[in-house]
Amino acid sequence: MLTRLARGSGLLLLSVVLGLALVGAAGAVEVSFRFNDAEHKEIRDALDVFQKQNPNIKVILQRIAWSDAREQFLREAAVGQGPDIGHFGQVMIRSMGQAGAFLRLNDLVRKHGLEELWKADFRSTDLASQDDGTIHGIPWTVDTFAMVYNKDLLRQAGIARFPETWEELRQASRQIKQRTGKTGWGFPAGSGSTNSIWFFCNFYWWSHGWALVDRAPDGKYVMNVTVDQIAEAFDYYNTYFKEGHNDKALLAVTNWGAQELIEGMVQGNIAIISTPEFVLTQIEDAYKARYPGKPFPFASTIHPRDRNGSKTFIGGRQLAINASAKHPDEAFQVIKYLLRPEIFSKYYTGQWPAQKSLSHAGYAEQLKLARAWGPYSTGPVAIPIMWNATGRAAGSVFTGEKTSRTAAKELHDLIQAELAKVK
Amino acid sequence: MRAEPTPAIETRPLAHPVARRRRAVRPGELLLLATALVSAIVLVYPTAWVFFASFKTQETLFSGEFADYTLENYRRLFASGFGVHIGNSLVISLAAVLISTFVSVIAAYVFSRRRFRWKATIFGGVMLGQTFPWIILVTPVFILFARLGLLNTYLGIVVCYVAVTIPFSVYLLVGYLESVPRSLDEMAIIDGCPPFLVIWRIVFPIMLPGVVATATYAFLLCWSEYLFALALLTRTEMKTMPLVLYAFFGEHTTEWGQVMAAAALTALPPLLLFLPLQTKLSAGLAAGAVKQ
Amino acid sequence: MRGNRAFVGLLLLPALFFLIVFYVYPTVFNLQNSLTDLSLFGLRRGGRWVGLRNYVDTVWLTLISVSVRIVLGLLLALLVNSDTLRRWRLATLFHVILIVPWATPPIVAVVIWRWMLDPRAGVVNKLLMVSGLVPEPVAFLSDVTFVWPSLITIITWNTLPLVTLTFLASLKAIPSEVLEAASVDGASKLRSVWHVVLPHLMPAVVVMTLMSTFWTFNNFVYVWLTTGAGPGLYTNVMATEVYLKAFVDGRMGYSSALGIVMAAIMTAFGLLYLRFVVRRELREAF
Repeated sequence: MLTRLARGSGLLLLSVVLGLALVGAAGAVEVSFRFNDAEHKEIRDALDVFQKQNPNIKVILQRIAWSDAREQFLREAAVGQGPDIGHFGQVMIRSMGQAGAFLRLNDLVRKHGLEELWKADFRSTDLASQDDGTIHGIPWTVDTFAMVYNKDLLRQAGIARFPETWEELRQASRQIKQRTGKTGWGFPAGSGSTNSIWFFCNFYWWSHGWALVDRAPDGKYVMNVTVDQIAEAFDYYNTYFKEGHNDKALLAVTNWGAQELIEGMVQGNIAIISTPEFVLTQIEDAYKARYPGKPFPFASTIHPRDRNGSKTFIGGRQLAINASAKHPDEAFQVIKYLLRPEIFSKYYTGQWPAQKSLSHAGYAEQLKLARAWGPYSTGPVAIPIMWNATGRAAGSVFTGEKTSRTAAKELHDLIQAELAKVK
Repeated sequence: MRAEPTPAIETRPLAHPVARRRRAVRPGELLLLATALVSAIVLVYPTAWVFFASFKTQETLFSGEFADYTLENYRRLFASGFGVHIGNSLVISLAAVLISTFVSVIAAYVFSRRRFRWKATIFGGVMLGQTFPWIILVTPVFILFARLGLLNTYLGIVVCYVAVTIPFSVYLLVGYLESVPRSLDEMAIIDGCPPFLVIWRIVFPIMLPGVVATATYAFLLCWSEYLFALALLTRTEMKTMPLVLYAFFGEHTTEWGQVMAAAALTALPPLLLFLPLQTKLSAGLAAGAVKQ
Repeated sequence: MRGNRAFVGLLLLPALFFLIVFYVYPTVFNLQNSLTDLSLFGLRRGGRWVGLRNYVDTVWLTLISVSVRIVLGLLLALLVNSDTLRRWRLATLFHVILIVPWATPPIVAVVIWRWMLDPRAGVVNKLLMVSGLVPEPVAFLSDVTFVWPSLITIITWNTLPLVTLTFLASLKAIPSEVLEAASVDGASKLRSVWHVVLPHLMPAVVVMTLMSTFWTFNNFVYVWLTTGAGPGLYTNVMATEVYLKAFVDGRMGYSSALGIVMAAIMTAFGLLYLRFVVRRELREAF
C-alpha cells in the first residue's frame, strides 16, 4: 500500500517535472522591444538570427512614433506596463530614469561583462547614468549634425570654399539665392515640441561660448546666456527668412530629416542643410535611385565656428530596460546582441554605433568637435521643456508674432524660473 | 407634429409645378449652377485626390505629373503588415458599435417610454457626456485600464469606444423614438407582451432606420478615433489604422506613397458604408437632431 | 406608465456603467490631481498661470468656425434644395457629394489638407500662382496671417456636410402648403426664405450651433495634427495646452486644473443645451 503510494507520488512528481521541462522548452521567454526607427524589417531580421542562437528567448518587436515615445513610456512605466526594452533619444534617459521608468542596469552590466567596455569604449555614458552612478541606459548609436551641401550649386553661385563663420554662411546663402534662385541654407524652423531649431540655436550659442544652462565653479546650475544673446540667435536665423534665401515652407517643417529637405536636396532646390548622417544616407539613396550613374554632388563639412569653435552635440539613441520588466536578464541579452558590429553594418545601417572602436569616418570631424549636453542634461530643467520652449519662442519670432527680444526674454525668464526652484 | 406617424424617411421633393414648366436657363440659374459646381469640386476633390495619389510613384507624387500609375504603394504597405491594422480597426469599431447600439437602444427606450424618479437628472447626465472634453480623460482612463489589465486589449478599447459613443447615440435614438407613436408599444403591453420583447419585436423594427443612422455615425466616430487609441494601444499588433497612418505621416516622411495608400484605405470603409446609406442617414439624423 | 423600477434599472444599468467608469471616475481623478501637482518627471514644479491666451484662442476658433459652418451650411442647404438644382436633377447627386467629406476621417482630412496647403507641392498654391493671385507660394500653416483661416478651412471642410445634411432634412420637412401660402401672399423669394424658411430651420440651427461648439471647443486632433499648436504657440488652444502641459512639460497637476476649467466651461454650455434643445425636443418624454 505504502509502496504503491510512494510509486504513485514518484510518478506524479516525475510527470510534473517532465511537464514543466516541456513547458519550459516550448514556452520561450518573451521579451518585447519597442524600436522606433525606420529599419523595422532589418531589425526583425537581426532578431530572428538572435532567436535562432537563443531559442529560449522570443523577441517581440513594437513601434511607436518618436513624438509619442517618451510620454507613452512614462505613462506605461508608471503603472507597471510597457515593453521590456525601450528605444530612446540620448537626452531622454536621465529625466525618465529619475521618474522611475527604468531598471538600474549596473548589476547587469557587470554580470554580462560590459563593465570595461562601458568605461573605455562607450560615448555618452554621462547621458546614460545618474549623478550617483546608477546606469539607466545603454548608449546604442551616436550621431551629430553636420552641414551637407550641393557642390554644384555652390560652384554656380561662385562660392569656392564652404563658409567658416556664421556671417559667411549667411552671405553664402544670400548669394546662392541671388545667383541661382535656389534656397541657400534650408533649415527647418517649425516650432513643434521636437523641433530642429532648438539644435541650430544651441549650435549658435555654443560656438560663441554661451549656453542656456551651464555649471558655475561652485557647482550651481546657471544660465550662461543673456536675453540679448538669445535674441541674437533668433535674429540670425530670422534674416534667412526675411531676406528670402531660406524657403518659407520650412517654417512649418519641424523634422531635420523631413521629406521637404531630402527632396529639396535630391532635386537640387536646396543648396545647404544641417542634418544627421542617416539623412545624408537617405539623400544619397534617393539620388542614386533617381539619377542612376550620376556622381553625387553632395559633400559634408562642419558647422560655422566662432570664438568657441564649431560646436554641435552628441546625439543618438540609447536602449533602456523597463523598471517593471519581467525578464530583465533576457532583455539585457537582447541589448548585448544589439551592440554587435554586424548590427550596424548589416541591419541598422542608418546609424553609427556608440562604441568608439566601431565608428566610421564620415561625420567624423564634426563628431570630434561635438559636445555632450552636459549641464543641460544633468541640470534641473528637463531638456524636453527647454526644447519645446525654444522652438516656440523662435517660431513666434519667425512668424512676426513677437519681437526677438520679447521672445528671448520669455524664454530666459522661463528657464531662470525653473533654475530658481532648485535650492 | 408628433401626431405624424412616420418621419420623413422618403425624401420627397416639394411639388413645384411652376418650376417644371420652364426650360430655358436664366443667368441667375447659371450662377447657381456654377456655385454648385465649385462647391462640389471643393467638397470632393481632396478625398478623391488621396485615392489618385495613392497610385502614383514617389517621383510623380512630388512633381505633380499624372503619369505612371502603380500598385507599388499598396504592395509595400501590405508588406509592412498594414493588413493587421485594418483588421484591428474593423474588429474594434464593429464590436464597439454593436454593443453601444444595443445599450443605447434599451436606454433610449426607457428614457422615452418610462417615467421614474431622477429621470431628467440621469438623462441630463448622459447628455452632458456629449459636451465633455475627451482630452482630460486620457490619463485617468489610462491608469484605470492599466490597473485592470485592459491596455492593449480589444476589450479595453471597445469599452472606451462604447462609452464615447453612448451619449450621442442615446440622444439620437430618444429623438427618433419620440417620432414613433406610443400607441403601438402601449397596445402591445396591454396585450400582455413582456416589456423586453416589446422593445425587440415592436419598437426596434419601426425605429430601424434611426438605429442604422445611429450605428453608422458611431462607426465613423470609432473608426477615426485617434486620442484614446494612441494612449491605450501601444503594441504594434494592436494598433488601429489612424495611429499607423499618423506614424507614417509624422515620422517616415520618406514614404509618401505609402502614406497616401494608408490614407485611402482609412477613408474607404466609412465611404463604402455612408454612400449607400445616404438617404437613411440624413433622415435618421434629422429625426433625432431636428424635430419640428 | 407604471414605474417598474427593476425593469428601468436593468435597462439603464449598462449605459450608466460605461459612463460612470469613463466620465465620472476620471473627473474625480482630475479634481484630485489638480490639487496635488503630480508631475510626470517626479520633480515638483510649481504651476505658472500662463494667462488668458489659450482661452481667448479657443473661444475665437470656436466662434468663427461654428459661425462659418452654420452660415455656409445654410447657404449650401438652400442651394441644394433650390428649384434649379432639382430641375437639373442634381439634388440627389449633392447628397452623395456631401457624404464624401463627412465620411472622411479627420486624420485623413488633416493629411490631405496639409498636402494641399503645402507651399511647394500643394495644389492650392499652384492654383494661386497660376491665376496670378500671389507672386510667391504662401506658407499657409506657418504664416500667422493664414494659419487660423487654414485650420478653420480644414475643420469646416470636414464638418460642413453634417450641418448641411441636417438643414436639408429640416428643409424637406417644411410642409409645402406653408411655402405655397407664402407665394400666394406675393412674398418674394428672398422674403419667403427670411420669413418662412429660416424660422422653420431655427431649431436645427440651434442644435447644430451647440453641437458644433462642443465638437470644436473640445477638439484636439485637428489643431494638434495640423500645426502642433504652432507656429510658436500661435494656435495653442485649450485642448493642446492640456496635452502640452501634461505630456511635454510633465506638469500633470497644472494640466488637470486646466482640464477641469475646460470641463466646467463645457458643462455650462451643456446645461444650455439641455435647457434649449433636449428639453424642447423631448417634451413628451418628460
